[in-house]
Amino acid sequence: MNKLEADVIIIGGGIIGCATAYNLIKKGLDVLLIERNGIGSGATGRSGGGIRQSARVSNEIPLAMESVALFPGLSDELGIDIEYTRSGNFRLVEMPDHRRPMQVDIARQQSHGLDVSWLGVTDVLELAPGLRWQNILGASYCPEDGHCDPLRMVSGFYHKAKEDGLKVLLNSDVQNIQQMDNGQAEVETNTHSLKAAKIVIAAGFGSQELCRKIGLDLPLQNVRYESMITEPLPPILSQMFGVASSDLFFRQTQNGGIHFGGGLIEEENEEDTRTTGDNLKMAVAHISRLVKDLGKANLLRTWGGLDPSTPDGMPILDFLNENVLLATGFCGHGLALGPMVGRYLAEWLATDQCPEALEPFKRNRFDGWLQTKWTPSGAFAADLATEATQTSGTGTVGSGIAFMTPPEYDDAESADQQKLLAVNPEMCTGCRMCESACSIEHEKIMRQTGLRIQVAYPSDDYFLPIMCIHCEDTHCMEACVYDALEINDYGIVTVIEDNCIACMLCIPACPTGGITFVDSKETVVKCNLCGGDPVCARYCPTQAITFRAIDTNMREKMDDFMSKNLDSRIDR
Amino acid sequence: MFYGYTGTILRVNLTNGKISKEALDKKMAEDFVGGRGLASRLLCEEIDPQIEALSPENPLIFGTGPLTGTGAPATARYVVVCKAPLTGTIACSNSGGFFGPEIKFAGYDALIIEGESPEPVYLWIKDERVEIRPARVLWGKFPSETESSLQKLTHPSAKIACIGPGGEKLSLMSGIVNDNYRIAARSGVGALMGKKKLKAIAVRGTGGINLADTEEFWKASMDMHAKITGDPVSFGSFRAYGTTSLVNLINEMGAYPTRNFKSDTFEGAANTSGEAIAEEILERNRACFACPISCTRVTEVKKGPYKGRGEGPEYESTWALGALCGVSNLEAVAKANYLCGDYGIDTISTGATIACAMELFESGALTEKEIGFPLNFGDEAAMVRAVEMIGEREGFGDILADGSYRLAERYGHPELFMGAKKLEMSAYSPRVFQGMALQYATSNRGACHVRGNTVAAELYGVPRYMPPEVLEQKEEMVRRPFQNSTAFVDSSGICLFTKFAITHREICALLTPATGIDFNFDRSIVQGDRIWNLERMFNLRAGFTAADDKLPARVSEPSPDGPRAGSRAILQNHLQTYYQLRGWDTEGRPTPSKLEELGLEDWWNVCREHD
Repeated sequence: MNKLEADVIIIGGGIIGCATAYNLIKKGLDVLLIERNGIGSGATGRSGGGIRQSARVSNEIPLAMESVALFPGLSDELGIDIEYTRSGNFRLVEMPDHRRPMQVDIARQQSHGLDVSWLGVTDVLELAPGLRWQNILGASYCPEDGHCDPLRMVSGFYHKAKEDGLKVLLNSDVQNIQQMDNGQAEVETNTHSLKAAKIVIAAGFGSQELCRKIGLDLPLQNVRYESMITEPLPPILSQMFGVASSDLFFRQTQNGGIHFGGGLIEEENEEDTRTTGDNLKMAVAHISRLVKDLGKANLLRTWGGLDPSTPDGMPILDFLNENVLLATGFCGHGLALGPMVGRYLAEWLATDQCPEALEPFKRNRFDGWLQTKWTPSGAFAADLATEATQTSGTGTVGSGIAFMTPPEYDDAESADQQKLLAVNPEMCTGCRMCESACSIEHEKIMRQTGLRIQVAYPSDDYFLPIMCIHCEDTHCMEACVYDALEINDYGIVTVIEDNCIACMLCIPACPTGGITFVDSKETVVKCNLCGGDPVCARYCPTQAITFRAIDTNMREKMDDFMSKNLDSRIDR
Repeated sequence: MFYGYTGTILRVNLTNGKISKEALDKKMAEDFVGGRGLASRLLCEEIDPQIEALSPENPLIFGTGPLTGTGAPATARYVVVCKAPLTGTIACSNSGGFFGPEIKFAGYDALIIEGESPEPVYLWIKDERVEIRPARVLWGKFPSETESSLQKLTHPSAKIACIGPGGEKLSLMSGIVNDNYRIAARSGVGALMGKKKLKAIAVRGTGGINLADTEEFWKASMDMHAKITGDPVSFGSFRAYGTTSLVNLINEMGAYPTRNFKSDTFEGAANTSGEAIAEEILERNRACFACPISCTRVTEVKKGPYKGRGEGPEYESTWALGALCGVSNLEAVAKANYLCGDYGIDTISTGATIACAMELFESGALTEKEIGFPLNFGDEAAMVRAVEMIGEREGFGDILADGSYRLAERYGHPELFMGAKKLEMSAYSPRVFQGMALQYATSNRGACHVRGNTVAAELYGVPRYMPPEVLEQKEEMVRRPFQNSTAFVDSSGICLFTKFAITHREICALLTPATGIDFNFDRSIVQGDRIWNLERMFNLRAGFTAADDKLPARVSEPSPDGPRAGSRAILQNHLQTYYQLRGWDTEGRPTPSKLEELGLEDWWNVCREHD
């Protein structure tokens, strides 16, 4: 077999391999690139083309921001138009359930200094008039994100590096990597045996197999993405789009085709670029709900591609032994991170010093990782799973419509206190679903009298659920002379029905109107928080009633607006 | 013991003041579900469909569904059924708010109001206590004043349904207003209430609705709750923009009838869209009883000539008082809408009648002298003035108050009436939506959009997408998933707007534990079909024939402009296919075997006895 030598051998001709090669050559190193098929034939060339910093996990945001900053200069630097447009990235929210987690997620990203914000549907439409507003509630928007043509970008890095002396072996399959006694490593392909001091594995979904050859099993799983592109259409969308509810992405390329697709979680280690009808149908149906007038466009072609993912949604960038550097597991973020990762990897290879920016991506974060099956997930989905949906968002959105106004209170400090019912009249639409739930739960009959919770209508645009707020003063207990009310360790007051003779002294004593007389029972009743899972809060469609920890401030506020509107509470 | 149903029907005779209570026939409830179906069945028992609509013999039936007031999502509906004063067909207008559930809490499944009082009266129902009380002081009052006065006279939390001055003056476009702003508007049911001199019904109920299996019921409710709150149409756009979320959408697709259906796109649509309402006049949204959707808009025009406050305008109101009259001033449209509410008249018929008058005026058939002022398309001040005149039956308004069919006939241009069976079409152009064309022509109460709103399929893709222009399979689509299904939904007591998120299966999953009667999907299909055929039989008996299943000539001509220029309503061949699918003969009459299949053979016999 022929023997070639180089300072660094890079396995994989995708964006990471080519960008690293380009930066190494700039540093004057002798570099050889091995690619199994053609340049950009793997995940890079099959990607969606999004260049975004938003919707990333926290540790990746600084790297993404650095990398995106390089993009405006790339076309000139590489001498090829990579069709980069910095037109912004939307992540559309279609379901009310996703709105608040999204706002929480935006706050998290903002804390890393990212320019990302929540836009209501009218603002989204103003920026992207090509969308069908009726299925959209709003979106996260990062104006500094954009998209580019992935194939042009990778070939830019490749050709520039080749002009400056990059050696290339295309259509070569790496079969083994071995460390040698002289401190070098040897790479065996189907045709060559190659030696170098440093080897970079940037082989995308093929990396896992190469790692196994070295004796390491890393938590990588392949996700298959399927994409398609329509015939060229007049310009209707300039931004990059994602959605909160699924993996769908879409953008309009510079020649006018709508490029869209999404992921399908599947473990497949063979190169598989099939497209499945079901997945495509889903993507077509989904995008048709979001983009106007797509119904008549013809699809030009469809393709699939595999992308290795890690459990935490971040790549693994680390030396596997003295010679071999692994750079894979980009979870679909490689295109945007590529230019900067290429720079850092070149620096690392040249100096033997891990750049500080790459510290979070070392493989030791998976030490002790159990090889169980996991579901690769994007940043947002991961947050959805961990953030309670009751967490309130920040900022004010829209006007006049209850569901678009986030609650004004949030009190993490009192999180370990007893949870109580919190009422936000701003969100209440006066539908009385809380009453229905309470009646069915406690009385086993649907009625509107003798309830533990009642909606008051002080005016035609202000509605207020009134119930016991379990205040610290316990006026009701003071008023009761028959020991028919008891308080537990957590401050929850309940009625002992056997002791109650319905003297009703407690009713006027309660400042919020939380106690009611039930004639059928001949006792008074009041809220007992349903033993810890109040049905009213569960049934409330607008989160006007929530079950949460409450601080004194909030309690006072509730006391205030309930007692102020006591007159408008009519015993139904 | 009844579950879901209360088991009692209240009968009030205004002529002799007799009040009686009857037990609900359980078999009838099983066959006709409740609400629209049950009330229609009761009506058929009460009268010969050939009677004069505005007569003491015509009873006014308020019906509730077995789910009304049960607290399951969106269970606020009640229906008003009678022989329609406007159309002569069977009338079934429905409305939400809190009035329907209150009837149930008071202990009644339906109220049958017969006869005619010599003096204005109101009905006060407090649980089992029912009184007919004088209402001279309330006569002439707007619904909001009537409601606040009645709450003082009866109980502060009584729920009120009443007529406005329009109904008192027997306007054939008047409806019955409840909870201040909600209205059972179409077909002129308010005129019949006015004829009976019944100003209002005040109800307070302190009882409960028994549920057969509370645990199952609660589970099904939570399931439906999750489905509705997860649905982008029901919980997304209807919540954000109300029904007016449709304005831009329908206009953009070139299906927004404009200037008395002369065109299908309106240049001023954006000004009167849901987005514009949200931006300019919306105060907040609010909900009917137990409804997570809360599509109601509380709006206020704060200053200027069109100052006012109320609820709406809804999609059809925005359209009828806006695009149809060529008016693009949102404040004027809102004002006209508030006025319609005050007078208790139907916004669609009112707008359509004014639009018809505008066309008559522009074509020279009507003169300025007759009207009192020029009435041109796009003249917002004249439009608002005309609404007032209709409500008061003042001057030319006296003629307008009886609807566009009678107006167009009177002035010798019957072709300018845009509707079917004397009821005006609504805001979905039949030139574009072929499903709506067939639906308008065959609907049992005239050209109406809520008897089978195929736009759900032809635009939103619910239950599945059928392109609007496609003709194939539209007959079956109109028949089963829309007309029959709507009949079932209206009868259950649940709001039609939930249908974007749920199907019969979810409704049956609620009905069964609520009533203890086995409701299932297959039966619900038959129940819907039965109700539709019953209504059809009523109409045939009242003198309608297949010749009345038609649309105005104008919509069969190509649409002149807009994105769907050239499209037109195509009916001819479809009617016969539709009749065939329904099991009707070529004259559109249910065959004896069809009636037998539906268990309506008795009704067929009754018919024949009359013949």
